[in-house]
Amino acid sequence: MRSSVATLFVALLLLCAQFSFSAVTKKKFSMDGSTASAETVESIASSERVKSKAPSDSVVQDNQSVVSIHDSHIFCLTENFADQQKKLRENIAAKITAMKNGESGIIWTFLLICFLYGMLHALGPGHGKSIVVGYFLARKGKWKHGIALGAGITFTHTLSAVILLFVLYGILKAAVFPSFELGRQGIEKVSYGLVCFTGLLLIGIAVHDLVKLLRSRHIGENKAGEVAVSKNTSWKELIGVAAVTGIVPCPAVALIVLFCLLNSMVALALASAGAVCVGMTVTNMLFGIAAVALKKGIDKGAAKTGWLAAYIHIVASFAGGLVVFLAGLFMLC
Amino acid sequence: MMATMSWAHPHVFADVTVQAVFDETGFIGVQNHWEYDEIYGTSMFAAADANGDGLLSKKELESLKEATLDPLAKQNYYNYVLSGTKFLPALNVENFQATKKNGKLVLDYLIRFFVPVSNEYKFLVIVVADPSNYIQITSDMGNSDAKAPDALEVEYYDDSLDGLTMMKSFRSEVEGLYVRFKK
Repeated sequence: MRSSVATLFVALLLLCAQFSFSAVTKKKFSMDGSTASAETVESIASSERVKSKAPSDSVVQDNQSVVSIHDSHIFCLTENFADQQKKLRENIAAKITAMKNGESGIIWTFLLICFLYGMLHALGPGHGKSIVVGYFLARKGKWKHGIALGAGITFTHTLSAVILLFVLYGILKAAVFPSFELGRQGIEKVSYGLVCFTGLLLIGIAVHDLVKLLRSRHIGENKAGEVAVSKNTSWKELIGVAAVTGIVPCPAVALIVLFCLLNSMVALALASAGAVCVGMTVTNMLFGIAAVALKKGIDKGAAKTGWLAAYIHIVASFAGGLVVFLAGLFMLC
Repeated sequence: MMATMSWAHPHVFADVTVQAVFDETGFIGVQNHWEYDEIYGTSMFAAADANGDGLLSKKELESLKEATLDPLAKQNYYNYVLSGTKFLPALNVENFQATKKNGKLVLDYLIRFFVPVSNEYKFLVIVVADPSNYIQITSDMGNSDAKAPDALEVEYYDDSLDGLTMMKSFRSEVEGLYVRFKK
C-alpha cells in the first residue's frame, strides 16, 4: 500500500515537473511582441506532438483590416470548384479500384463522374476560355464557330495528353509521369508563346482595318466601314487557334489515363479520357457560345450608331486581340 | 515569387501537416508530412519503383525524391517561412521518407531553415501552399505543431493569413502556423 502511494506520488511529481518545464506551448500571442492577449490553448511537453485539434476559432481574430483579393465571391467559387474536383478525383480513383476488383456494373457512374470532373476542371484558368472570348471579340463568328472553337480546344487538349502519355508509356512503362511532365512543360511554353503571337496577329488585323478605314474615308464613312472591316472567321483560322491553344497536354487527363493503365485497364483509360474530354468540351462550348453572343450584341448595338459602327468593331477587335495576347503572356510568365 | 496569382488550376492534391523544429541553437527547419491524392501518388510511386516490387529501395527512394521535390526547389519546396518582412530560403532537404497509406503516397521530410535563438522573442509564420495552384495543398495547421528542447521557450498557434500583406497571393482558406521562440 505504502509503495503504491509512493509510486503515485513520484508519478505526480514527474507529471508536474514535465508541465513546469514544458518548452512548447500552443497559445495565442500577439505578433508585435506584446503578450497582452496571450491565452494558453494547449500545453504539451517537449518533443511530443499535439494530439487534438485546438479550437482555432478562439485564437487571434483581430488584425483583419486588410482585405485579401481572394475574399471575392468569384475566388471563393473557384476554391469551391477546386475542392469539388478533389472529391471527384478521389471518387474516380475509388471507382477504378472497385472495377479492377470486379465491380464492372459501376462503369456508367464512373463515366458520369469523369464527365462532371471534366466540366469543373475546365472552369479553372488555363483551358482557353479567355482566348475563345478574346478571339470572338476580335473576329466575327457564327454560333457554330463558337461551339467549334470551344470543342476544338478541349479535344486537342485531351488528344495531345492521351497521345503523349501512350507514346511515353510504350517507351518508359510505369516510369512515364515525370517524363510526361517534362514534355508538357516544354509544349506549354511553345503553346503560350504562340497564343501571344495569335493575340498580336489579331491586334495587327485591327490596326490594318483602322488604317484601311482612315484611307477609305473619301468614299464616305459608311462605305469605308464596309471596305475596311475584316470578314468573318474561317474554319482554317479556327483550326489554327484551337491547335495553338489546345496543344498543351492536359495533366489531369493524363493522370487518370495512367492510373487506369497501371491497373491494366486500357479500354477504361480511353473511356475515361473521352468522358473527361466531353465534360471539358461542354464548359468550353458554353464560353464559345457566350463569346459569339457578346460579339453579336456589340455589332447589333454598333449598327445603330451609323458611321461609328466600323470604329466600334475595330476597337472590339483590338480589345479581343489584347485579351488573347495577355492571356498567353500571363500563362507564359 | 509571391506576386504570382493563381493562374493554374489544380492537377495534384495534397493534404499537409507540418512541425516547426528547434534545437538548442534556434529554429532549424520544418518537418513536412505530405499525403498525395491516390491518382498522382500512384503515378509517382510507380515511376520510382523501378523493379516493380512495391517497395522502395534506397536508390528508388532517391529517385522519388528527385521526381517529387527537386522540381519544387525553386519554389522553396512550397514552404514559406516569414521572418519579419522576409521569406527565409530553404537550405536543404533531410530525412526523406516515403510510405504508402491506404493506397496514398505519404512523404515525410525536413526542410532546413535557420534562425538563431536569442533572449528576445523571434517571430515566424510558416505557410505551406502553392500560389500557382498546380498542387492544391490543404495544409492542416490545426494539427501542426512544434518540437523543441527544454532550453527553449516556444509558443505557436494556427490561424488564417488575413492581414499579412506578404501572404496575399495565397488562397483565402490557407492557414499559417504562427510561432515565437526565445531562450
